[in-house]
Parts: sequence; structure tokens; C-alpha cells
Amino acid sequence: MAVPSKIARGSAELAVLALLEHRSLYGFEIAKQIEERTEGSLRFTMASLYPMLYELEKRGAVKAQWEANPAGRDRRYYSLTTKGRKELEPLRREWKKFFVALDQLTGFNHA
Amino acid sequence: MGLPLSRSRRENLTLELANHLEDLYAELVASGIPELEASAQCVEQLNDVPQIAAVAKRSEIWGDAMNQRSRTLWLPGLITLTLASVSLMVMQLFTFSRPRVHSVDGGAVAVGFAWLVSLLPCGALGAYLSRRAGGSRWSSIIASLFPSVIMLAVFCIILPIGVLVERNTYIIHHPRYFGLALLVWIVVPGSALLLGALPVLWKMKNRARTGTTPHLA
Repeated sequence: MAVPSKIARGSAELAVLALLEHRSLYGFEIAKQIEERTEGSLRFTMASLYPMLYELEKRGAVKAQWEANPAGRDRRYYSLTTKGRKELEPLRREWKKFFVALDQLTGFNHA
Repeated sequence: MGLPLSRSRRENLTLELANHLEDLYAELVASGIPELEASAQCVEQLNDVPQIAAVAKRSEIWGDAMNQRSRTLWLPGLITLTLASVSLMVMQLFTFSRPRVHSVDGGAVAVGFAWLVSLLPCGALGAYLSRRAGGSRWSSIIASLFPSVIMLAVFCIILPIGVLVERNTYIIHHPRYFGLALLVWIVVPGSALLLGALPVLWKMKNRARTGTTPHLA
């Protein structure tokens, strides 16, 4: 089941930043890993992924670099910047707080 | 695809999205989806390309046609210079506002009060355009003072060449005249331009203090 769009949009940024925390990835890899790790709850199309990546790039949270691949196609790899790392922690806290609050309200964790 | 982007940006974007679709196609086929259906799913995503291109353009990534310095300094500066020059030309057309010519140290210096007044909005506009493009306070100051900066550069080139290279006796024997010319063509117009820019610069300072400038995330 896919998570409703508003929540998905809000959490998508956190998902991408968290994914890029440890290694750089290219667009398709980002989409694929997020889908796999969330068991299909978060799914990206080109229209939802790339505009967000370009906005993050403009904001300086991620940087992108073309990397030559002798075996295949060149890839544009995205990696987290220092600014992105600084943004990630408060974002994580905010979302955690949000889910704790939601849990207190609805008790969905105990359902 | 008719993307609203420069050629290099269009090529980069096309390559990135084409790679994405090729990966998607390969994955769909590998997961057992028939080739025809897989390609239909990929083609369907092409409808989103103009929307993605619009964001790419707005995000100003992959280099912009006009860089930040051009937008915040050179363009506002050139506009200020052009307006100051045009206003001087216009002032000279009307008798009442023609500059007064004074004879000093064997030379003539023209002082135009009407022109100096017209420099106030020129300076304000230069500072405003620079500020609107996201320029720093210094960029705004230099953009508003651009006509004086150019004149200073001209003096800095002409005078040393005249004295050291050409051994121009007129320049050597009339330092008072050139000193006054420096004042009339650089310092006084510069003051008028800066005076015009002050309200804009003041507003900028206040905005920074009250924190109304947008911050990210």
C-alpha cells in the first residue's frame, strides 16, 4: 500500500537525505533503494524524484557530479553536503517527534 | 523535447533522464514485465519531462546563462552607467540644465547640478537591482557607484600613462586642474549616486536585522 501523497512528499526529503548520508547514489539508485527499503510504501517517479533532487541541489543540501563509467553510461551521482548533514538531524528529530505525537494521539503503534 | 533550457543544461538533463528510463526499462523487463508494456510505462513518464525541466531551470543548476556576479554587479552597474550617461546627454540638450563651465588652472571644468540631482534615482536603481538579484551590500554599493568607478578607472589609466609614458607636459604642469576634474567627475557624482542608493541600502540593513530575508529549510 502506498502512503498518501502529502505524507509521502513531506517524508521524501528526509528519505533522500538519509539515504545519501553514507554514500553517493545516482537518481535511479535513490528511487530503487527507497522503494526497496520501505517495501514499496515510498515510490518515486521521475517527476517526483528529480525536481526534489534539483531543489535540494539548489539549496546546497546535496551536490551532484557526473562520473564516467567505462563499462556503461555516465551517471550523475548525488551526495550529501555539510549543509545537508546539518539539515538532516533536525529533520529526523522533527519527524520522530511527529510520529511520537501521532502515536500518543492514536495509539497506532499498539494497534 | 522543447525544454526551456540552455543547450548544455538540456543535454545534461536529457542524459540523466534517459539513463533513468533505460534503467527502469531494464528493471521492469528483468522483473518479468513484457517488453512492450515496460516501454509503455517508460514512455508514459516522458510526459513529466517539461515539468522536471521547469524545476531544473528554476533551480539554476548546471551553470546559469548569467552568473551571480553578472546579475548582482555587472548588469545593475551597466544600467546605472547607461542611465547616468543618457541623463547627462539629455541635460546638455536643455539650456536651463546645461552644466556650468568653470575655468581652472588653464583648463575647463563643467559642473551640472541638474545632472547631479538626476544621479540620485540612478544610484537608487543600481542598488535596488543589485539587491533584488540577491547581491550583498558591497555589490549594491558598487553597482550604484558604477559610473564613478568607471571614471576612476579611466583616470587611473590615463593619468599614469600621460605622466610616465607620454611625458605629457599639460598633465604635469596642471595638477590642480586634474585634481578638480577628479573631484567633479568622480567624487561629487559618486556622492550623489551613493546618496540616492542610501535608502535602498538602509532598507537592506533593516531587512537583515529583522530577519525577513528568506532562509533555507
